This record gives sequence, C-alpha cells and structure tokens, in this order.
Amino acid sequence: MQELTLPKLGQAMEEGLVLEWHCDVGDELTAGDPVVVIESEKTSHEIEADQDGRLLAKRVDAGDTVPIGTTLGYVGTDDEADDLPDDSAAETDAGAAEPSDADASPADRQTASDSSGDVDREQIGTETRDDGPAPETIRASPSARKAARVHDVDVTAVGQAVGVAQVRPEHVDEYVAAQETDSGEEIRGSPAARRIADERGVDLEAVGEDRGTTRVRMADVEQYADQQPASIPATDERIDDEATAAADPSPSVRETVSITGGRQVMFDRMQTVSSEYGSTTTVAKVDVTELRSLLDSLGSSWEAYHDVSPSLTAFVLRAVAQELPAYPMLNAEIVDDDGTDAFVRQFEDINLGLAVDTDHGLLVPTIYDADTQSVTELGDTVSDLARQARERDLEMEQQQNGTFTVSNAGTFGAYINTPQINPPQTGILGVCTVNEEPGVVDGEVVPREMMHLCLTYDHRVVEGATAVQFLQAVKRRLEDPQSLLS
Amino acid sequence: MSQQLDAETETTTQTIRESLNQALHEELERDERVLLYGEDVAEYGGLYKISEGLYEEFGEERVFDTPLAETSLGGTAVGAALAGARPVVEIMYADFLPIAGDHLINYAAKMYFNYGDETSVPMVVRSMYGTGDGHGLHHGQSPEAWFMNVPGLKVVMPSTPREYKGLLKGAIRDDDPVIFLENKMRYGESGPVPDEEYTISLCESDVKREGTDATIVAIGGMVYEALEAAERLSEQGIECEIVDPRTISPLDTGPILESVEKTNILVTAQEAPTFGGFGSEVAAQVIDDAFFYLDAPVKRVGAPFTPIPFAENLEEAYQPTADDIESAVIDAIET
Repeated sequence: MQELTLPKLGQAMEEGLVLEWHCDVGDELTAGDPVVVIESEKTSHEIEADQDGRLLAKRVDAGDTVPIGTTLGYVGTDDEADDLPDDSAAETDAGAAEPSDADASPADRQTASDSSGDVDREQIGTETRDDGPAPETIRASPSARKAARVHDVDVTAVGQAVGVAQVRPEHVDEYVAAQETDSGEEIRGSPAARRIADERGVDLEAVGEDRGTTRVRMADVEQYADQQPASIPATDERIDDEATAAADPSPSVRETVSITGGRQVMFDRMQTVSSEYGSTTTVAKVDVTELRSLLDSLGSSWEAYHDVSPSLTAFVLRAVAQELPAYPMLNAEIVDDDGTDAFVRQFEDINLGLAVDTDHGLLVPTIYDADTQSVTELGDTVSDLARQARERDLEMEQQQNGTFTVSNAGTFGAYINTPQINPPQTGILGVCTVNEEPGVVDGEVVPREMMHLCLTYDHRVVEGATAVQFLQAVKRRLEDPQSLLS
Repeated sequence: MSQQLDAETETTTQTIRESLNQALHEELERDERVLLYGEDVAEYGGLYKISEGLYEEFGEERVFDTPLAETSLGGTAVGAALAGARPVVEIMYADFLPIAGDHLINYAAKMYFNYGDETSVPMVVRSMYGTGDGHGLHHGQSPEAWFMNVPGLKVVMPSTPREYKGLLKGAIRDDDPVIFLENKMRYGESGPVPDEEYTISLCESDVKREGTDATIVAIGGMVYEALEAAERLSEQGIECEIVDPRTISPLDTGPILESVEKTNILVTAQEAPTFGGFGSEVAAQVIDDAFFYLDAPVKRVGAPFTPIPFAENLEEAYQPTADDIESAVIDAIET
C-alpha cells in the first residue's frame, strides 16, 4: 500500500496546498498515474501512484493546506483497504452533521451533486486501526533530532508519517527514503540555467516539469521561456535597451514587481474566478442611522467592560452569520470545478472569512463558528485577527476553512465596491462607506446615514432571487440593530 | 584571435625545431649576455637538434656542454643571472627538473621577494616533455603542475612554431625566471612564422579557434589535439572555442572567462594526470568567477593518475588525445 504524503518541494517549504485530486476514492490506478497535485509557494507537483490498485482513501481535501509529511491518502489493492490506518480527523460518515473538535474543516451539511454524491473524505474499507500519535505527543531522541536536521525534516512530521510517538534515527531515514520515492528526483538547474531562469522570470521546476527533465539546462529554460507569452520579461528587456529607450514612445518603466507570496495567491484566485466563475453583484442600500446611534450609545459602556469598541463591522458580521444558515447555497463551496462533475458542498458551520488589507498583501483570516458569537465576541475576534494579520502572526488554520467572506472596503471610503469571490466559496459581501444622505422618514426628508452592501455571488449555482433575498435579510437586520444584540 | 598574424606579415613555414633554433640564434646574436648551456647542447647540437649550429656560430664561451648534473645547471644559472648574464639552460627531459628544483623553487623564484631591491633572476630553463615515444616513466612527464604552484616562477608552454619562437625570445628578455616547456613529440609540427623580428609577451592567453558551443582550454601539445577534436565536432554541428593560455603561471584568465561566458561549457585538456593539474586550477577559477555562466559540469581531459607506461598499447591508452576531448565536449553538452 502506498501512503501519499505531502513532500518537501523546497528548502523553505513547511506546508503545501492540495490543489487537485486527479481521481476519486475507488478509482482504478496504474503505477505512474498522477493521483494528486500539490502546490507550495513556489511550485506545483504531481504525486503519482507507485503501484497498480485503487485510490483507497483521501485524507485531505483539495484546497486544504497541510504541513509536509501529512498523509494525503492511500493507494493500494482492494485487500489492503481493510488495513487502512484510521483517520481520526476525517469524517467517515457524510451524515455526521456535528462539527467535530478534531476536525477544523466545516462539516458537510449536504452534498448537492448530480448522481454519485461522493464526498471526498469517504473511505473504502470498514475495519480501521489506530492512526499515528497526535503531534503534541511525539518525542524524538537527540540522535533522531540530529538526523532530522541533516535531512531538513520535521521530527513531528516523521513521527506522524511513520506512526511512532518516540522518533528514532531509523524512522527519520525511513521517512526521508519514502519522501524521495514519493517526490521523485529533485529538479536541479545548471548555474547558467538558474541565471537565465532568473533573468527571464521563469520557474526552474516548471521548466523541468515541462521539459521532462530533472537536470535543467540553459537551453531548456530558453525554450520554455520562448513558449511563454511575453509579459514582464518583455518589459524588462525594454529597460535594458537604453539605445532604443529614447526613441521608444511607450511609457518608461519605474519598477517591475514580481508576483509572489500573498499577491501570487490573489493573482491565482482572481484568475480562477474571472475565467471560471459566473460572478454577479447585487447591491442594497442600508439605512444605518439607527445602527450608528446604537453604536454611539453603546460606546462608553462597552469600552468599560470589553477591550473593543462596538464596530459596524461586528454588526455586519453578526447579521450575515445569523442570516446565512437560511441561504445554504451561499455558505458553500464548489468542488471538482472542471465543469462536468462539479457539485456544491453546503456547510453546516458558519466560518466567515474577513478580508484584511496588510502591508504584505490581502489576507483573509477566518472567524470560526461566527453564528455562535455575539456582537462583542465578534468584535473581539475581528480585532485579534486583524492584529495577527498585520503582524504576520496568523496560523495556517486561521486562514483556512472559510465558508463565506466579508470584505470591508468602506473603511477606505468606497461608495460602491463590488468584491470578488474567494474561491471555492460561492459568495462574498462587500461593505461600503457610510454617507450622510437625504432620506424620507414618515413623509419627511431628513438626514440619514446610508451604506451600500454589495453581494457578489456565483450565478452558476446561486439563483439571483436567493442572493437578493439574503442581501435584503441582512439589510433588514442592520436596519433593526437591536435584533443583533440578542 | 588576439595574436592573429596580419595578412601583410610575410611568413615562412617552419617547424617548431627550426623556429626555436632561430629564436636562440637571434637572441644570442642580439644580446651578448645571453648564454646557452646544458647536456649535449653544444657540439652535438642538442639531443633534439634544437641548438644545431649555435656552438659553431657563437663559440664555447656562449654555447657549451655541461656534465650530467642538473643541480649544478640550476645553481649556476641562478648565479649567472644574479651576476648579470641571461642564461638559457637546457634540462634534457622535464622529468629531471626536480633535481634542479631547489635552485628554481627556493632561489630563482624567491630572490626578487627576498631582497626587495629589484633584484631579478633573468634565466630560462628549457626542458622537454611529451608522451608517445615509448620513453616510459622518466622521459615524458608533463611537469607544469609541479611548478605552477610556485609564485615567482613563470611557466610557459607554447603550441605552434610561431609561438615557440616568439615566446622563447620573450622569455629570454623577461627579467623573471622562466621554465620553458617544449613538447618533444611536436618539434616536427610546422606552421607560419613571421620573417620579421618579433617577440610574444608572456602571460597572455590566446584564442586559437572561435566557437560558440564549448570552450576548450588546451595547453602545449594538447592544443593540436583540441584543434583536431574541434574540427570533428564542427562536422557534428558543435563549434568549439579553443583558448591556449601559453603561459601556465601566472595565468591570464580573462580570455578563458570571456569564452566560458559565451559558450557556457568548459573542457580542459592537458597531457599530465588530471588530479591536481592545470585543468583543475582553470576549473576552479571559472567556478569562482563565472559560475553562473556554466551550463554543465566542467570536464577535464588528462592522463590517468598513474605513471606513463612503457608498453606501447598502454602508453597509447594513457595518452590523452583528440578522441578524449571530443567525448568530453559531447559529455558536457549532453549531461
């Protein structure tokens, strides 16, 4: 039986994203078949089956980010299905609606699928045995720690992968050997290839994968780069050519900025959304006069008993969290989005992502179980997460498992701002700035405080009526702010 | 080619033997401080007939035979140079240079630094190396690596007739001690030699052939092997650039680095064993200064790490040739 684990693709890599499963549990596989695609900050990598058999289990969903060494799934024969290690973190029963403490992922509520209704965490086989020890219980001998340092692996990951609580040097060797088998030979570039790749802004590993070599040469890089559409490098070449720069009427370049890190994530996600999603936005104008006066009146007493002042954002989050359960298509994600076998996974849990602008890019920390939190609790959570985001102190888990996102561009003065969906979610609410405007109350024109709410939803799976109704429901709650204090 | 002959320069085709003889003749004639001595250089005209006729021309004061005693040859040369002469000493077979080694390494090379008063030791030690004549262990070793690690000594290894002449004249006029290594297997090679008076400065590398696909740094007799390999590779579409350092130490690395920056591939070629050899130093220099231009591992062509075998078939297998250079270039390109 082949255990699929997350390989280390680079020296700095600590975790990776499970980008895509090429097959479903139970699918037949031949040795060499690609099973799962994983992605680190810098590169993506395909893990192949090293034996004939079936995909016996998936332990990590596409879209999840996990530490290196994490078991992603198993490939083996039908006989081996019985010997499958238990996965304490996985739902073996899609009907289990209670969010489990051990599993931070949103519990499946219902799978709206065309036929099979397959849920990823399904597992073939009935008998299970104990899985490896929990991370906090793993210890390592000094010699094992030394071996782990030499191979640049994490002893906890070793313990989990090998399934021992006391890691010894031979476990490290076993782990490293397994990793090498799984990830194949590392792709290396010649010094010249590395220089050219750097100059032309291409990724060596991508070149190696494209050219089918683990030894990337200069010519490989050049041929690969020539195939790529000219974009940033073309601009760079223009700067270099000072002779033609004077005659060149195109704008002179101040700086070329590489797309990396958080910006890379944004780039990729927005690329996905713009090319694959049917994004549509509906706008509501909310009268927040009462809410603002409520905030003012609560101000001093809250500050006396809580660390945070009452905020409009907390009330919006509260309104969204309270209304979202009635609109499950908006508290959901799209799975297997290749257009043919796609289905929507609706969630029981309400985990709200909150878009936060930081110096190092847009981050979206997650407010878990937002529907169970009061306005003051939400205010506390928002304040903590925003600080952690700015200080780069967010754990990976705090940036995962969101089921719906709220983005507040109003703080920057946006009058109407249509947000873009955070894939694979189906909806996002944009909060805009509050403006004083003439309004009509009891037949008289009076000054009112007005705010736009913009709901962008994926019209492929969310009906327009559903979206508008949800937005109106949120509007009603915000216009009756006392209802949100309960 | 930096040392390309001008089209107008009148040349005569000469062998290396002839060009060397002419160089010695011209220098003995030009400067009466120049002396030529060694084993059988005078009456016999040199074992390889390099000094033929010079004894007759310049007499025994300027050209004379010595006993078979290399230590004395080294010591007297240092003394003569310090006393104002410009001795040219022949050590028959470079294999025996170590016998004179103490004088060369610890005296000739050190005087300038020891006294700090512009003291110079203008002497030339001509000596023969070269494999392929069945002379075995003691009559064909390439000694350049033994001496290139000695600061203060200049080590010259020419390739063509023109360079043998120009560099020998340059060495005689140079104020530092020079070990001038002659490939005894190549004395018969012929090529154009300018009719007019000329010298070639030491410590200047020369590009012998231009190419874009691989750089071959070849020394001494291996330049011919490299040229042959380059012709064959050219038929396969691979254009090699051949850099001939000519002076092994101090090494002019500029043209080597420029060439590697162009071709991205480096192959070195020498007759001596590769381990600890000249090619290793070139490789290290390139790795230091042009690492990010290398597109393949550096390949060194040289002899195996064993003494030169007597047996003809073994010697043939031992001796690095154009075939070895050709496969090294292909290896590097296809690695």
